[in-house]
Amino acid sequence: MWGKWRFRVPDNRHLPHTRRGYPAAVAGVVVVRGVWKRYSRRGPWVLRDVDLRVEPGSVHVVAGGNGSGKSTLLRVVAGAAVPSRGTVRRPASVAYVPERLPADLRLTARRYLAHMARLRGLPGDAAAPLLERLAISPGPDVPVATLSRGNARKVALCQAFLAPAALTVLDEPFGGLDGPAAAELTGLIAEARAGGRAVLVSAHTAGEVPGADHEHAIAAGGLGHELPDGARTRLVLRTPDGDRRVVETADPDAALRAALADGWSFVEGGPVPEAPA
Amino acid sequence: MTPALLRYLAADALRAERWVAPLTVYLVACAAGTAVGGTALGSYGLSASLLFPVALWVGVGVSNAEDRVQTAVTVVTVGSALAVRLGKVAVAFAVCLGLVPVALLWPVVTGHAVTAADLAAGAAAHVTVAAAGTAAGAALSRPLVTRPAWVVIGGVGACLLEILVPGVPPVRPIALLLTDDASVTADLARRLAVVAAETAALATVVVGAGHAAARTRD
Repeated sequence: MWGKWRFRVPDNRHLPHTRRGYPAAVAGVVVVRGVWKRYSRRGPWVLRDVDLRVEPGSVHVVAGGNGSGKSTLLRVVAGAAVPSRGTVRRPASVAYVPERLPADLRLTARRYLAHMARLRGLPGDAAAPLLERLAISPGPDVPVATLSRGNARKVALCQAFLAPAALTVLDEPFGGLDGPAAAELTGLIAEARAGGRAVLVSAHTAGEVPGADHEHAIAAGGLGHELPDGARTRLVLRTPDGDRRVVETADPDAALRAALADGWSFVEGGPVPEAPA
Repeated sequence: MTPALLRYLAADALRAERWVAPLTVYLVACAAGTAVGGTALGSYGLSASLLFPVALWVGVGVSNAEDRVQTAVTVVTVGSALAVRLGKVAVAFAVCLGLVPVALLWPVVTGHAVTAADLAAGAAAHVTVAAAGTAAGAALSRPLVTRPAWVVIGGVGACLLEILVPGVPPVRPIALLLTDDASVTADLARRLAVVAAETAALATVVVGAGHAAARTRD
């Protein structure tokens, strides 16, 4: 584990380290390290060796196609799912909007939001201003299950932005929203960012989320470096234990040097293939 | 497990109405059981035994009542998957506790001679069995057991285990204690307490192991 961390961030080796083994320079409200995930013991890997760091007051976007693993990554970061391997550090207060919406929620929107507010220790009517901003049609007093996709999304967003959570995780939050609601959501994300809160959003393509500070590409369960890094190289390596690891990096020379120094061996290398659409 | 969490889970489960069928079945079974006759304690032994499958059914129903996607949101909001699971077990247990007074009073209504000691022993027996049943139901719920057929097979298996295997608390020991004339002594309270303690330990293990296994499938 430790060797892998050094390998992933070779430049951190000279930095002082905390007792738990995190490099002291690694600030960040969310630290995802070497996370792998599959949903059953023999199932396919949905996430492969993902590292991610999200700082307070920043908006990170994870962009990838259908089945790329972005929803699973967001579930793991939010704490709705546990990683099969690796570690996730997250703040105590997290808000989460899933990609799929509760289809079976019998409570009315108003009562549901009152319950969610009380779960966060707020008064039952705490969602009233948000309900007004996002304008749920036909109104907040019908069961959530009967609402259209866009309106159910608005209820889910109200729930997430009820309290100033240190981390807000939004899985494709713009899906099904009309123009005014999308503008409100952009505003809510910007307000969270300005308030020093971390936001992690998923999207199908880069550039979909206005005001993003960082964009990460995800394909086949592997998180690449940030998109603006330009041309990247895929290295196939073998760990001292004989495991095969695929690494995508903008600086293959440094990564390879660090890997070899840690006792890993080189299998093959080449340009990163285009992600399947 | 805060009051707000229990309140939300209870409100959601109440609307799901999955508790209606098992409760109705139980009331009918109790009525049929006491009509057969026998002593009050004997009929408590029968109604306590019948409570196990009913509590298991309620346990599965309440645990699965919340929308799957919403469960993820609740877990993130509360910050603990274990708290949400225990909250559902608590709600299911509370629903089953609502049946206990009915089960206790039924023999009184049908004209059995019931003493205060009988009532106390009957209450302890029913509460113990309700706890075991809801714990088993929680372990047989999503995301660990998703297919209805496996829930039925697991539930029937748990019932057979409880009825047939000597030493497994609480159904068989309680049924034997309450129907055996020789054990109706001052020793009954102590023996019931032992069974209750064993049941609490077993229920903790079942819920804990079920939760740990389920978490890997979340």
